[in-house]
Amino acid sequence: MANTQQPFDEPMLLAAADWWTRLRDPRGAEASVEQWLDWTARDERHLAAFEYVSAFGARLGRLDATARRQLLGEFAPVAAPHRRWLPMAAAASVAALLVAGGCLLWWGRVAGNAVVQATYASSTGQNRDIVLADGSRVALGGASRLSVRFTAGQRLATLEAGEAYFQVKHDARHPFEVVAGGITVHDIGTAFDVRRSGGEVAVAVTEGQVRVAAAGDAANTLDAGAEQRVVWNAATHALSLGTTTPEQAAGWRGNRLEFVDEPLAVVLASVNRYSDRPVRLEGADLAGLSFTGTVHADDIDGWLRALPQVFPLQVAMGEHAVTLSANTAATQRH
Amino acid sequence: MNQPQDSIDTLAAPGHETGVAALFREHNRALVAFLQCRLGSLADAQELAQESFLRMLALERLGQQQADSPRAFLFRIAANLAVDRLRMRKLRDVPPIEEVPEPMPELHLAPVPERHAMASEQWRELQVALRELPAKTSQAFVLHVLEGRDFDAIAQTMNLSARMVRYHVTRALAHCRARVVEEREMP
Repeated sequence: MANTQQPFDEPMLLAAADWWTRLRDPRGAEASVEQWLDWTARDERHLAAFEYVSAFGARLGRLDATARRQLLGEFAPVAAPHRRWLPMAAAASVAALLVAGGCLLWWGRVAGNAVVQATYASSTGQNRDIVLADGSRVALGGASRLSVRFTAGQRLATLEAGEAYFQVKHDARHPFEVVAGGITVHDIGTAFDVRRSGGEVAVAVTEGQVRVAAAGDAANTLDAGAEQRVVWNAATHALSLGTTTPEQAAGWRGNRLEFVDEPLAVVLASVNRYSDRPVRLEGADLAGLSFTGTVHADDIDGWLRALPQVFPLQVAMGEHAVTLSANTAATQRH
Repeated sequence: MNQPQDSIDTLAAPGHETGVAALFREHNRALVAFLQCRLGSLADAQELAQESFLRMLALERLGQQQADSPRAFLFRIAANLAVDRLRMRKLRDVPPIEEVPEPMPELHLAPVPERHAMASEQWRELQVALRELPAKTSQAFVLHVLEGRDFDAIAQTMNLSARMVRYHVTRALAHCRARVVEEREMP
């Protein structure tokens, strides 16, 4: 039943909010982890209050562009500290324009050493094409985020979430690198797709050659050429090599998500970047089911309805979310 | 062999594994929230949360006992993984030598994974709550939460110390959280 009472009193919320910001503070955060554990152990409700406050913070971070603009306009009206680089009015209008497009771009110049830095983001269900400052092309998948930093010696792109397809302009003097999760992809003039989902990163090469290196272990690298695919697993830190086709690698650009023998959890992580309702898995045993097939991004519901014919699961279509749970009748072997 | 029941938990050794499974059910969300605070990235947080649970599972399979409470142990694993991840990022982001260590203007716009407009009642409450706060408090808060700027960058903009920025964000978060009433959230 609707519970309109606050589950936590103000002092407890304040303590939880204090931890929320303390853990975000890069200074001294390492030391405070032990104190944080003490705090959570002191009272069973502490961790619940922390989760309650965190969920709220995360929800504000997901507000749509209109709501965001409205709040920033009212409460941070002159939030343009960078007028050194761009006249205020121009900066504001550029920002407004790009926020409206779901993308934000910022340039900076640092004395004597040009640095170009930008962050691009897309919303759920939306792919976008980007041309980087060096002429390289990037197709960004739904609900994805890419930050780019070009310096005198290097072109570095970090895929913070989701999926992106890169067509890199060759320039031997400025190596192009993509960082995603725990790996770095070193490119040698080529086209490739990088996808983060459900605890793994997949690099699928359509042209040329790349070298994939696992961070923190110089010996752990794999080279992949056209129609090859490297998968890095966050849990095992293992790199594995397989094959792919251009369709599998970048079919999503035509709204076809193609999967060959991939865990359902990984498939859903991709599907969720295109679904207007999040699809959730209930029960760990479903996550490992292996799926091969095509999901049309504009008919995710149709795919979901067909799933019980392939897997022992049932689909509950809720108004705000879709839940997949084990079909107990089918899993029990009688 | 006839198993009396056939569920997720009995797939592996009973007893130990159900411990980790229960821990997962109870604390996965808090763990992801914790890691998201440390790392500022949901994708990284989910990745490391998963890794933490798998490490717990591996240790339990080996029959290792922890003197600690399992929850503290789990968060400690996660905290260590987060430190490693941050260290890795620092190594990758070492600025060129000549670069003036002036903070780069960096704005992160989070994608919108769930098209989530706030219920209109909550939206109104949020605005009212923000208006009740001192101007600096609400300003620091929206810059951090909506624009994803870190405390140092906001400190520069607002001409405050990073410590004061953190104080303002804390107060605003607690205040808004207290003022925006919600029906029981869907699990």
